[in-house]
Parts: sequence; C-alpha cells; structure tokens
Amino acid sequence: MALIAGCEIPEDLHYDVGMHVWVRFLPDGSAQMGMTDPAQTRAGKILRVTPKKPGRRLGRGETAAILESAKWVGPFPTPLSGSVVASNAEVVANPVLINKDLYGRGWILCIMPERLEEELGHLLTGPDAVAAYRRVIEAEGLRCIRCAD
Amino acid sequence: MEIHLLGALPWMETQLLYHALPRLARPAVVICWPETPYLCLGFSQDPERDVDRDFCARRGLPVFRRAVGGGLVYLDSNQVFFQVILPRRRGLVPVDAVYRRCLAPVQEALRRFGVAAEFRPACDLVVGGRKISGNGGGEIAGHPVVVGNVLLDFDFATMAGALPAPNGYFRAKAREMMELRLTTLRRELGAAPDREAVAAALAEAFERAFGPLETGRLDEALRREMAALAEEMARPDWPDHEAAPSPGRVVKIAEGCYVRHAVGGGGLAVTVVEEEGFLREARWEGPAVRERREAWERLATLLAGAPLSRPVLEARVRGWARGEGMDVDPAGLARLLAGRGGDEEAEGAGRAEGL
Repeated sequence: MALIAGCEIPEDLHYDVGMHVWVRFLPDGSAQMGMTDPAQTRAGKILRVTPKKPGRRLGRGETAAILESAKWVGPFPTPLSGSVVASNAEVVANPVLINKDLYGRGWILCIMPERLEEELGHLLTGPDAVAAYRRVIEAEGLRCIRCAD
Repeated sequence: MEIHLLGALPWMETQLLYHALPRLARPAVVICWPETPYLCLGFSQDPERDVDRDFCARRGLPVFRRAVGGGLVYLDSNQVFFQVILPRRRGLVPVDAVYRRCLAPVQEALRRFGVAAEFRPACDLVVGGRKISGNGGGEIAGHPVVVGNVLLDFDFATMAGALPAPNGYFRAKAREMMELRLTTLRRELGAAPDREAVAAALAEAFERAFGPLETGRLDEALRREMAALAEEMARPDWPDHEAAPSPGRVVKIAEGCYVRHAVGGGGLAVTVVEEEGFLREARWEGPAVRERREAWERLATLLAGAPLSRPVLEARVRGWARGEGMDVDPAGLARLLAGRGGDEEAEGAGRAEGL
C-alpha cells in the first residue's frame, strides 16, 4: 500500500487515474470498482449513491453511478465498457462507506467488461499507478482525509 | 462565456436552460425568474415520496426534478435565479472553490443593496446567520454547474405545504424554522427591490468576475436541446438509476438546521428540530406516549439543548427512564433522536429544504 500525502493507493488494484476510479478484477471476470482516496477526499462525505441498474450497458467514460455529497451531484464514470452486473446494496444503504472503507466495503458497482483487451491499456497498476498518482496529488496539492468514525 | 439576462420565463425553461447549455458545451451565466411558481426536487429525490403531490395538484403547482443536488425547493417570481455553467475541466472538481467563486458575484450584487451576505459552507449565503440564497450544484455533461437564487420574498406557507410531512407538528415546525432561519431582501430592506434591478446587479457582478461575457441568445440549437431534455426528463424512468432507500423524513432548513421525523418500534415516533448539532426540541408520539403524556413531555424538556451525540442522548434518556419508571430502550431512543449519525451530520435521503 503506497501512502502519498495521506492518500492510500493500494498497489494491487488497477486505476484509471484520470477518472479517479479503482478497479479490482474478480475471479468471474467482472470488474469491481470504486472511488480512489483523492476522489473521496475532494467529494467530501458521500450522502447518496444511485448506481445504474443491472443490465445497463455502458461505454468507457459513461456515468455508472451518481454520487451526491453536500449539495453537489457528480458522476462516477466507468473506465471500462460493459454491462452492469451488480451494485453494492450496502453502499447504497450506507454511502459513507465510500469515504471510510473505499477499497473494501465501499465498492460501488461491478461491470462485466466487453472490450477489456483494448481498454486495459488505460489502466495502471503497481508502481506505475503510484507514480502517476503522485504526480496528480502533487499537482493538485491534495491531502487525503477520511470521515471520522 | 455567454450571459443570458432573460427576465421572466416559462417556468420549465428556468430549469432546462442550465441543463441544456452544458450539453452544448456552452459555458454561460443565466439570470432569470419563472413566470409561474413550481416545486423543484433534487436529483436524488423521489417525485412520489419527497413532495406532497396532492397539495401540488390542488394548487396547480408543477413538480420538476433537476440534475443537481439539494432538496425540494419552492420557486416563484419573488426569486431571481442565477445559474453558472463553467467550462469543462479535467480532474477532480474543487467543489468548495467552485461554490465560493460562483457565489462571490452574488455577494457583490447584494452589497449594492446594502446587504452584507457571508458565505457559509457548503454553499449558503447568510445575512446575520439567516440564509438569503439557496444554492446547489453538480456536474452536467462534464461542466461544473452552480445554480441558486436571491430571495426578494418567500412564500413560507406554500413551501411548508408542499413538504411531505408525516404530521401537522412536523409541518408547523418546518415552517417555523424556515421563518427563523431564512431571510429575504424584503425582510432586510423593508421592501423588496425591483426584480430587474437585482438581475442587473447580478449581471454586472458576474461580468466583473467571469467577463468579458458575450450576450447569449436562445438560438435554435439551444431551444432544440431544451426540447429534447424536456422530453427526456419527463420520462418515468429518468434518471436511469437505482433508487436509494429513504432513512426517514428530513427537511433541511439551512446548513446545520433540520427538522426530522423518525419511527421506532411499537409505533413510537419522534419529530426532532436540530440546530448546529444540538437538539432544539423533540416531540414524541405513539401509543406509549398517549398513556403517559406528561412523562414524555418531561423527556422532551430534558432533551432540549442536548448535543446530538448518541452517548449523551442515551444517558439523558436512561436517567429519565429511571426517574419515571419507564421501560424503554435508551439506546434505541437515542438512535431515533440522533438521526442517521448521532456523531455525524443528520443528512439523509428524502430531504427537502426551505431553499
């Protein structure tokens, strides 16, 4: 786990750094995804999550969920094209999990990728992801914080 | 960047404009007001659950759900709207900075009328602690969008009437707190200034902040996009997202001020007025309350002014229960009183707000 300005960047995950989305590939081939530490810090406490419904097909960059924090509604984009196979009911019921356990219970939805071979190149993992995030964090002057327990 | 200084518009156009302009990649400032009143829900709200549809139908008030955040608001021609569509940006939106930047011109415009409004995070403008401008924002088609209004006057009765209140006390308290925590130019100045003068002041302030601004036109492309949006947003399946559960009835009056209603076991329910993290007042209802009304009223007195912390509330309830010989679950009652958090903000789904 890399730690940059208080931002946790697990090196075993894949990242679309531009979209601030992490991806975990599951044994069934689906891609579980959620917000990165810099993203949840900037968003503030998440009050509401409304994911796209299962079965919906999305292209890379399309909105997979809407996140609402204090008086701001913003998109959660998918870095991979595919169909929504599941959304996290626990996070829908308790959105602050996105802030508190963002890489664990705070996952937002799963997509079954349809163009993985051509889109995987947009994702970074390991030291490459950490290096890319270090540049973003430093450029934006970010310092990550979490909601208090 | 364009500026659309439009005056009175058909009510739906006052919403469609700021949804359409980002989809056309046209950063802009829009200043207008609706010819006729309507209710406007926030993106995450439920049109069936989060507004009193019967009340709106009786009054002939349309209901619209917008694509930005916040709760239910009543909008009419006693409010001058400002809507800012910023250029697309890469990276994370610095929401606080965006709100400050977009609301600074509003503060400047209010100063022209001798009203000194302060910015209160997340996005309120307050005068002497009372909210004078209700604002919200979000990303639409990749553009940060901030929308808000300046209150020349406000119809508290209609706003309270449109709330989906679980009981009359809740509605009355919501209205009382709105009248206490909101203000208007009429209240601050003794008389509401001319709408056009307020609009002109806003336009000049936004020109200074974001200019030079090109005079915008409601051209064919914009009207076409607005018409397409009107159809899209009126569909029953708009937006195409899962609905989130409502944890209870919450009305946000202003930052830090809420009226909440929560239901527990055995038909016990409580309406709570919360201010700045403290319980201002609470009123209990249900069969158990009817059996020993005075005892529950003593609990309400004991709780008044308590911090909204579950441990503190639980301790007070426990002490009351012991003294009154009441068989209750102090932790459960504390949970009802504290809302979704207890040591967190009492925000939640199903919320409405005075602005």
